[in-house]
Amino acid sequence: MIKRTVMLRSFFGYALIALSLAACVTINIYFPAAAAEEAARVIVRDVLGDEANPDQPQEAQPESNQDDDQSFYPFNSTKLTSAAEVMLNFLIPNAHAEQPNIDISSPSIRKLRASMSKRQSKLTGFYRSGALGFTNKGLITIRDLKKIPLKERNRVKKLVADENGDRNSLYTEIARANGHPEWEQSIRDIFARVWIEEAPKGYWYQNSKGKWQRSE
Amino acid sequence: MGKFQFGKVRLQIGSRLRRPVGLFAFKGLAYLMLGLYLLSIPRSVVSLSDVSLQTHKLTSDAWSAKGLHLSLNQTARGLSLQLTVSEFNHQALAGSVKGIDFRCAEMQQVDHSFFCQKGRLSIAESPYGAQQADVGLKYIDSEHIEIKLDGLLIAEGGISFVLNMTKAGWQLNLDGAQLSIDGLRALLPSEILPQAWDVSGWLSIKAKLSGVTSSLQQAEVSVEIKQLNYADEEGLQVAENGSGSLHVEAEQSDLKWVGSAHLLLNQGQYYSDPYYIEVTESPLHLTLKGDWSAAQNQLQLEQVDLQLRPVIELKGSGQLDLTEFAIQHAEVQFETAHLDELYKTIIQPLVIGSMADELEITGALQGEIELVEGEVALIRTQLKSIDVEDLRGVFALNGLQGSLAWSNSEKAQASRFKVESGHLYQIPHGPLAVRLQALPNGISLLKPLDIPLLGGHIIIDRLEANHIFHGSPEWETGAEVINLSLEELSTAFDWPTMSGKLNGKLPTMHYQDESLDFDGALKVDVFGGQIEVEQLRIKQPLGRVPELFAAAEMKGLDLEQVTRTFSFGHIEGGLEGWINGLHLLNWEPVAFQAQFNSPADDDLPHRISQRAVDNLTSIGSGMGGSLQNTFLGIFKEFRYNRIELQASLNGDLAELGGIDHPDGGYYLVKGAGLPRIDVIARNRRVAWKTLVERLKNIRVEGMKVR
Repeated sequence: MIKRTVMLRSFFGYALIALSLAACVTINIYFPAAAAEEAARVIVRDVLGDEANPDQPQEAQPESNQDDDQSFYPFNSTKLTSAAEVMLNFLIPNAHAEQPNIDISSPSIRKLRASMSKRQSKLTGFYRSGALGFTNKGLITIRDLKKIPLKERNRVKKLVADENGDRNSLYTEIARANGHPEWEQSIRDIFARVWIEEAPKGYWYQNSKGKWQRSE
Repeated sequence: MGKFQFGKVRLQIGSRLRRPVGLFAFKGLAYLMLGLYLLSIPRSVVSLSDVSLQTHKLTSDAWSAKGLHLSLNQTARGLSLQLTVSEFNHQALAGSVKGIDFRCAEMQQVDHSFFCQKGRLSIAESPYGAQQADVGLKYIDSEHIEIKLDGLLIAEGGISFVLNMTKAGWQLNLDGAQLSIDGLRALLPSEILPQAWDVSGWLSIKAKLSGVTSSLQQAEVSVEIKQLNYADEEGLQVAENGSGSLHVEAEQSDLKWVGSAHLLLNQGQYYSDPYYIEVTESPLHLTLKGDWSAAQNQLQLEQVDLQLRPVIELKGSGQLDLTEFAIQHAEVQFETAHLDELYKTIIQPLVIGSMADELEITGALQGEIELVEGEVALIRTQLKSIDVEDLRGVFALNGLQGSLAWSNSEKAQASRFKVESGHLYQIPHGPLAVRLQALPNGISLLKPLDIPLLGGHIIIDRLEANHIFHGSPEWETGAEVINLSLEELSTAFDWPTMSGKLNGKLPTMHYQDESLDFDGALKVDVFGGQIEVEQLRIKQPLGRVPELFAAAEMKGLDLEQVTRTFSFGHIEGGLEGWINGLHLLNWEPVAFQAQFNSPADDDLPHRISQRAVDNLTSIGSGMGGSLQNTFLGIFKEFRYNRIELQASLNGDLAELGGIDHPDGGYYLVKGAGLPRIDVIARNRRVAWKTLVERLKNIRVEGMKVR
């Protein structure tokens, strides 16, 4: 009986050490995903303007849910139990846990948002016609060149290049403005999902498998 | 009645004399004339009443005919001829021709010649549909035959032709009118008009073709095209409402085809990814002269002439591999008087997404390009009164004149050009004379470049740039800054006017991985003292979000001049300080640590005006005008012992400090004498945004601090 108790203690001891080690390498646990998503939604709605319908139910698009979610929360993919999460919360200093906000008010972010909002009206018609679509990487692309009048094509190509330049800079800047340049990919992933979720009816987007679908 | 068989050929002749008749030299269309040949047999040999020829199949390399039946009958009005062929195939045809029936009710005979003025051809089925056509035949002898055919309905249009066959060869004059291009698709090889393309339009064609046996030797073809529309599956090759003409002349010489082609497009919109042209007033002319070697599928062009006004005019020569559709070698001279059109049509589509995709560019250009194996090997251009303006506002160059050259060989190409004026961001500059040399993947200055600006000069003593065409660009330069006027700099940036000079030596400026690093220091003689800027570094200087890092030290500044310049309220005294870790993002500060204070051994009088005290107070508290509500409001100036301001910024939070006060606050101004006034701040943390707002709201005598 005593021997069994010792063995159990040893087992839990090793488990705790293993959990501690896991916590040391999974640094993205501190990424404030919920706050980042909220910030992304604010920006996306602001850029889409009247096109986006805030009253629209924000159900996750069928093709952009589970896989994407896991990429935002790498820690979740380890499938640790809730008991382990409690343990980790104990290990994580409060200072980290108490900084859930994502700052999107830096001058460069404001400038990029303004630039994207200004451009949106020029892109709307092409989104609606299906000439342009939202990619699953948080960017836009020409999905059907034939739907763009010949005379407009190079103007639209430039709009797409400029929009993607702004979007790429936006993701970089949000990560940098929040003191974590390494968050860029996580922020991009969240934006990719939110752009699609907020896409007005009739817009085209790429699902996680790269297939084009129309927002309903 | 005799019956003779030659293989599968069965010949029936009704005659008085019976003798075998040989069939020989069945070649080409002569087969169809076999009956006529038989008619040419001297009457002394055979006297015809009825002739009937049948065969199951006749073939040659190029064609085959099945179910051939020829019958000739003597009638009261002469001879009548009927030829039927159940199926005819030719390699030039897109499919089988079935149910051929040719009749000539009245065939005239003069000696050994026969004429059919009003023959009738009917075809039950062909790739071009069922056909009914009038046919005229002249059979002078077996070496002089003429066939006229009129009324063929092909691709919704009409086709007529005259075919002359002699011993020397044959000649075909073909005339087609109002042919539907979509309908012609079946006739043309799929390489010319793929089945997947959407095509519509109309064309008329006149062709003179001649050759020997089944071989084409000479061709002259003119095609008029109207209402042309085409689009490939992806929309990369598109035309809308196009019209024009094509004239081709070619003849076979040895193993080559030698000739010329002229294409004219006089209307329409054309898109060939990524280029778009709209032909309205000035037609597009393209003339090609040269030869084509079938064995190598190689096109040797001795003359290429393209006129696409006002965009560009090209002349040149070249050699193309048509199998790979690749330019093996070409030399081209080009010219334009409308660089704006050239940029819009040719250059901008190629550079979309780069910093060069938003330029306004005018002027003229001429030059030459040599291409080897599809790559540019040499380019030389003459620039004529060119103005370039970046519409993002980054730079402009006006009055560009001179020559540019580049080659992919190791031999450096010298360039020399002048610029009358320009600007970088808001800073204007004067005339430049640039001499540089280009290597395959880099450029270097051949003589120092003097840039007159802001009343002084920047001398670029050297410039070595590498990887500028391929890879990640990298360059290194050194510069001396001489007497730049701060007054002009202030005006350029719409700052409060500062007087002073900017000097400095930057021995090394190195650009790599989108980062520009400076060695050395810039010295700014300003406000009676000096500011020295060091550790300067700019990341992505031309990018969307440029970043600047620097540190600065200030010595011997006269606060009287500083406060006058920034309209802050009058302060007398000296000032020194430093800024470390300055980080600007998109030219706005996001981090720094700074301190400004009165020097310990300051000899200048220390006086501060009521307005300046109010403004300092408002910076600290957001509320000004507090002095006016006290008895001190009657004093316009106060003496002070020391001014000190510490500030650090991290993100959007600024921390302020000064001379520590025993009760926990800090002096911004520590007063002296009577009436004594101390400005003591208590809050150490303030949002940067709030601080900037407070600074902006400071007003003195109607002016606003920027």
